[in-house]
Amino acid sequence: MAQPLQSINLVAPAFKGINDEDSPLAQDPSFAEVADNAIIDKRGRLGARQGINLITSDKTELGSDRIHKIHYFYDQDGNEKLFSTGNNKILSGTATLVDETPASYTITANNWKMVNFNDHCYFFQRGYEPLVYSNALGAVTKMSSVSGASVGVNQYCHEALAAFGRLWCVGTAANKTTIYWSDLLIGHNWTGGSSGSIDISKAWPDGADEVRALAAHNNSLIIFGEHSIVVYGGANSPATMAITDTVAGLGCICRNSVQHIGTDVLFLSHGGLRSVGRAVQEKSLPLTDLSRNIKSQLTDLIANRTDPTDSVYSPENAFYLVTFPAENTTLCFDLRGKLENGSYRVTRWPSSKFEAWHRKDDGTLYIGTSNGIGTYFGYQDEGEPYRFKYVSPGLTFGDPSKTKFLKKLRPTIVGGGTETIFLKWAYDLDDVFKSASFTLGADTSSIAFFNQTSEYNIAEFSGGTSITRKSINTTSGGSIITVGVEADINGSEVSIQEINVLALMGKTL
Amino acid sequence: MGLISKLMGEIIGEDIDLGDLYTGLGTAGSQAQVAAGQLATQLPGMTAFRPFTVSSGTSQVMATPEGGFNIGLSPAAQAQQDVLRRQANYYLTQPVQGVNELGQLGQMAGGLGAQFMNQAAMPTGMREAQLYGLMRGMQMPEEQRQQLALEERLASQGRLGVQTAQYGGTPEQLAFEKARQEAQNQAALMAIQQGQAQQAQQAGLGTQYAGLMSQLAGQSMGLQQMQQQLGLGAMGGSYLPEQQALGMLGAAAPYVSIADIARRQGAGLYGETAMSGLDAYLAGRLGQANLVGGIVPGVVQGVGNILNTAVEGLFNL
Repeated sequence: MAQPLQSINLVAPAFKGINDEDSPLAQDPSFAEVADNAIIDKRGRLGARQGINLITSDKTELGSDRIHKIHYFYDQDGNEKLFSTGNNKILSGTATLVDETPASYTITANNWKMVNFNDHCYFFQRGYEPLVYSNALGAVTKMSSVSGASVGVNQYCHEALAAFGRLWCVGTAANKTTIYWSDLLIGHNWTGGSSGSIDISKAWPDGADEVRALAAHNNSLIIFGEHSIVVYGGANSPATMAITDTVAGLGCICRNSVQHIGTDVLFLSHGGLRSVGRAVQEKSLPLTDLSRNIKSQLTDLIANRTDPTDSVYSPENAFYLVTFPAENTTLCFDLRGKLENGSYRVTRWPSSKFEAWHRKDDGTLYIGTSNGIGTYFGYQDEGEPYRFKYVSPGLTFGDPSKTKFLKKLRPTIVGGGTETIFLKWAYDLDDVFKSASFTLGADTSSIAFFNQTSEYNIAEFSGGTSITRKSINTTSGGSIITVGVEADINGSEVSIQEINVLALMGKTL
Repeated sequence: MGLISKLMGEIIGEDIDLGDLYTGLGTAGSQAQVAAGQLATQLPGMTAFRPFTVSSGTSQVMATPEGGFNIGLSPAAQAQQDVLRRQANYYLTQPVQGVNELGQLGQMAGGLGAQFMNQAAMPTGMREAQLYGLMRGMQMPEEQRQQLALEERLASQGRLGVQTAQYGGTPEQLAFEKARQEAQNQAALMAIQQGQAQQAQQAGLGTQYAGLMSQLAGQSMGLQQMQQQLGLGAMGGSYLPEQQALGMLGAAAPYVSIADIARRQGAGLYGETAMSGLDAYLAGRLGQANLVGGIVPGVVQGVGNILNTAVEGLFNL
């Protein structure tokens, strides 16, 4: 006896991001098995991320290297300058990269930490004398050459922080537990005035550790070890600051992963993405893992990383990005809200050109690539398309014991230009998909909600967002259905509004 | 008989021989001398001392003719005197009991006094250092406790490794070090004061022991004096019966003197009387002689005048 077609709507599929940690059979269809080069857009849909708008036209100084770090310097007089590092040089500029490396200053690494402090920009890297730039100096200068400077090898540090009216640094080649702070408001005076240091080798909650990063949050100095965290209160008076909290067994793996998100501080630990607020409040309970839904992938990335990570927080886009350059992967954590399990919605940006990030105060998101400096803008990566990919978890439609015969897939795609959409489906968790494709806007079923007609040559409406609904006939069947959408994003925004699945329920297995 | 004697006889009316008269004057003197000699032999016997004896219950004093006296004690008094003399001999010849002990004590006191004085005379620097060490030794445990507490507090606050340009370490460590330095300074000052106080105390003790030594020496001398006084007292007591006898003799002496005076006065009266007779006899003889002697010149002058007249007459003739 023929069964009626059962219609199942996957509304805003994957709006909870990737979840490859839970069993596919128990998966909520709001999750995605794969969400590559995707974001959760402002309407809560899964959509394609933006691309790289390359600004640099002359990258001679960069050579064949990539941009490793980006930093935007600005002072109270409105002077601004974009610094970047690469090819063992300090670079500046966007369109043309200019070598700012001081004379007689040899660099063999590019993992600089650059901080703005009191109208100066300070450059720190382990084993190197710190550098200073200010509009008054006019050039990147060795710190010892700055008038009034008092600096030694103790300041050849890996991590630096501008907070509480001072510059803080830690992590020389010989000592990774002593934190130095400069004189008040004088970032290049490390021996006089109210400067000082604190060796926290005896303060680690779990015995021994080394400082990986520093952060100032909630009037506290947060010291990230690799395996533990120590929080000092009253750091505006460093001589009397005292421990207010510690977290054992949870630390930070890379200073570049630490980002302030306004009410919290995010950082990467060996176990994934964490936040200070949660970590301090709940003493690093595993449930507070902000990357729980992608834990295995992330921990693999962390474990296998060979280059320093880089990260950025963009309140405009409401995401936290962390890039693993050597693994050519960026993870995008959506910060609009947390899921029931306390984790952030996450998508993955693989095979991208992202190498470094920096957000300017005006919201511009700078990207470092092997071609120079770009911005997070548009829907091409340096003029090239990139693959947007969605794969649902295994769908059982509430009854995994019955065979389903997939008849139609009717996706509703928002946006897009002439991109080709590949609709994919598979049965019983098979990774070999059947597929069909269609082109956005070219098919008859595409509906332009807003046209660009004008009256009296005056545009009445701006360019509208098109919505494409396409019905795709599908074949074969199985007990578990996996559907997916792929598209090469090439200049237009694409989001998946919903996918309507028409299936015929079969016999019980 | 001569002319003059005749003339004198005529004058006096009695035959006078001037030679005989002259001889008779010499004889009267001899007779008076003999009589005075006889009186002189009689008067000593009359005035001679007559011994007497004074007796009491404990003694008897017997005066001797020579003017001395013998004292005799009763057996009981004699026994008491013997006892007292033995006691006097004992006290005056035997060592004074306790003097050696006092001497030893005095030596000890002197030694201690010298010791204290020597200590007081020593420079106070070493003692001050010892006192400083003692005070620091007393302060150190609390300091160590405070330091440990500070370290624990700093450790609990994660601040053990703080180094600052302002304070060296933490402000608390600076305050602690300042407190420690102040305690050290205070201890040093107190050690100096205490050292000087102890020096003064030792000097005082030295003086005290020296005084004690002197006092003991005085007490020793006092004992000796006391024993000597006891001996002398015993000795004096032993003479007391004799003194009593002598006193008794003295008491009897006026009465003996009365008899003696009476006797001497009788003898004096006797001598005076006898001598008065002799004087009267000699005065008579002397009057005779003076009378004759007064007449003679007139006789002689008359005879001379006669002769002169005669001669003149002769010549006138």
